[in-house]
Amino acid sequence: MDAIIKCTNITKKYSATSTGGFLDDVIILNKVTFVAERNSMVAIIGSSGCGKSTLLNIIGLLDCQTEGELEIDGESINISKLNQIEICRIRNQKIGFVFQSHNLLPELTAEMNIALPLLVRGESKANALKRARDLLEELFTPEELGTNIGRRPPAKLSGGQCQRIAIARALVGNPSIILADEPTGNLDESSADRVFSLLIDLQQRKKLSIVLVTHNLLQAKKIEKCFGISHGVLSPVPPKEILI
Amino acid sequence: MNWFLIYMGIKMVGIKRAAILMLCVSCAVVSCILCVSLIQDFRSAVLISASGSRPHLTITFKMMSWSDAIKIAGQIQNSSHLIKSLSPSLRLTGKSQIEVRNGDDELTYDGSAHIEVVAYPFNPGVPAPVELKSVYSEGNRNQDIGESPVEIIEQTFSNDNHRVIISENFQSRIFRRPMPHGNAFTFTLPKKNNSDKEKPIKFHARTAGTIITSPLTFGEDHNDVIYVRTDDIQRDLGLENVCNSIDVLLFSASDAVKVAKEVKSMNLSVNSILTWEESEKESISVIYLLDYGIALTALMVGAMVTACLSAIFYMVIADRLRRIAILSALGMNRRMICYSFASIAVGIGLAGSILGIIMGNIVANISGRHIADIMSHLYQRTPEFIQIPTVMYFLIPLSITAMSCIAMIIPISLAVRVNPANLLHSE
Repeated sequence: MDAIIKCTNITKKYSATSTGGFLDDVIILNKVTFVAERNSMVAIIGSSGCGKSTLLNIIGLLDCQTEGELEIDGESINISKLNQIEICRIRNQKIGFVFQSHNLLPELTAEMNIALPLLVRGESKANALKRARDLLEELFTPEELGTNIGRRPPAKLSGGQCQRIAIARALVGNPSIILADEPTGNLDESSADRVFSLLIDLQQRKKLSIVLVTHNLLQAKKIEKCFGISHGVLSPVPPKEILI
Repeated sequence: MNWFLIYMGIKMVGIKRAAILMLCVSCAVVSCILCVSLIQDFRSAVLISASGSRPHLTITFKMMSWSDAIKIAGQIQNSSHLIKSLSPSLRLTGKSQIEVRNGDDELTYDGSAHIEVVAYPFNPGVPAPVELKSVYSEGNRNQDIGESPVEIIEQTFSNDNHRVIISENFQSRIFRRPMPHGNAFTFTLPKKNNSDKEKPIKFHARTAGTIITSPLTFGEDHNDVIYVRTDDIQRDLGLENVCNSIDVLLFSASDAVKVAKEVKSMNLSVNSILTWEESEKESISVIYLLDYGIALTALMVGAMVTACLSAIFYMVIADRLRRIAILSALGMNRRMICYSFASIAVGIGLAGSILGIIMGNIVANISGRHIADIMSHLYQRTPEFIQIPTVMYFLIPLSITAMSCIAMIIPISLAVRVNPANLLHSE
């Protein structure tokens, strides 16, 4: 199988100096080796503070590993050797983020928020907005679209709608991989189910590669490939073995 | 120009904040314009008033006939277009050359007296004010000056006299009469104590190029009027048809050096060429002090504005850290983020400067007159209107814009270096 993400012996360590010398070295990730296959969905589960988000940040080039190698879409990436412009280019073109908090810009309308990655890439506003509107039509019901959802700022949208806008923003640039960090963590049960179902549906329809970090074991159980992190060590967890 | 980044900058900073920053910038420009206008216009107005003459050069020669002086004046006039007019004159300076006679009877001052001095300056047509500098109280050096009828602001002792410098505005005023050649000065001395009856008083006044020193005598309920005319003095001294100097009236003080050079290059048998500033060093040094004060004020205003701008920009950036992290996560690099914010800082700087220039001109012209009134209290001269040099209209906005740009770039360049993972994780 074709690997979209390949992590080899990724270690993340906070040294005593970075904590002001009050603590000993803290190892968050210990030689994590992990492969996510193209067009598949992978879930990472674990307790709070176990390093799930840190791993996702490293894969998303938002954070730098202490040791180990990272490969995204067949390209070996050493964040400490790349310049900032190149890192941002990779983030923009290859990675789509969905955060726990939707992290939409409150100053922009929903469709401008969706179009943002394309505008950053340098595409024309007309093209970017057209693509954003297409995605809105795909992710929202006609009733919702009838309320002129695209022209509304995030403050005038519900939590679930905001998160769907965030998903649309992650999809708009056709990235190689989507990294979702507890995308339903801030939502009520019905909204969470809807957003999660949307992710599953999109993954299957569009053959997306998604890495999902979640607390929700019910959701994790529905995903074919699942990993658990405990004490900085990543290990595969068959869905059947997930105890709810 | 990247319109998307500018658009993002506007959205990030926000219209309200941008408006507040713009007002802050325009206030800075207003204060700069006020300071510059004070330095430029009031300086020249106060200089003219203080020295009692307009910008000029004084070229001194050996004593020559009036007709020779006219010929030389013609040559000088033709040598430069910066010269407004010339007037050959006999330059008489120093106390000993001026004598004011006021009758033979020496009167004793024992009541209030109203004294008027009318002085005619050397340069015809130059309305020079007469300025009371001091009152001499001759006699016993050890007398108690505290009993003087005038307000004492300084006293000095020398071998032959005891000088008391009084406040100029003490029951006195300088006014401009519509007189062809000069101005008048009046002052009133209040009634003294009986014990001061025998003390003679001299006054010391100053007009354009002339020091008037008079042994004033006061009669009982008597108002003295003393006239000082330079042509009278010339006649008395038998120097009616001779000249020893040419006063070259200039359009502006800054032309003095250029014209002086041109005159020097003419190889005339010149004794000396004194620029206006050289001949009026004493008065001008006071004005320079005033300039330094204003410049210091401007500097302090500039520093305060920079600090305020930096603080506001810092707060704006601190408030937008999470958004900056989101943009970074979406692929916007540091350069793009800095460009986005800096372009707004430039916009704020330029728009604020334009607003400031308009407001500054209005404020300077309205309030400037009041400031002028205070400043020219001693000189009774207010400029007609306030202008700043054209170059300042470019220099002030440019420097303010650069200042606001720097104030924005420093915090934003620090903000973009923060790891976005930390910022996004914080909430």
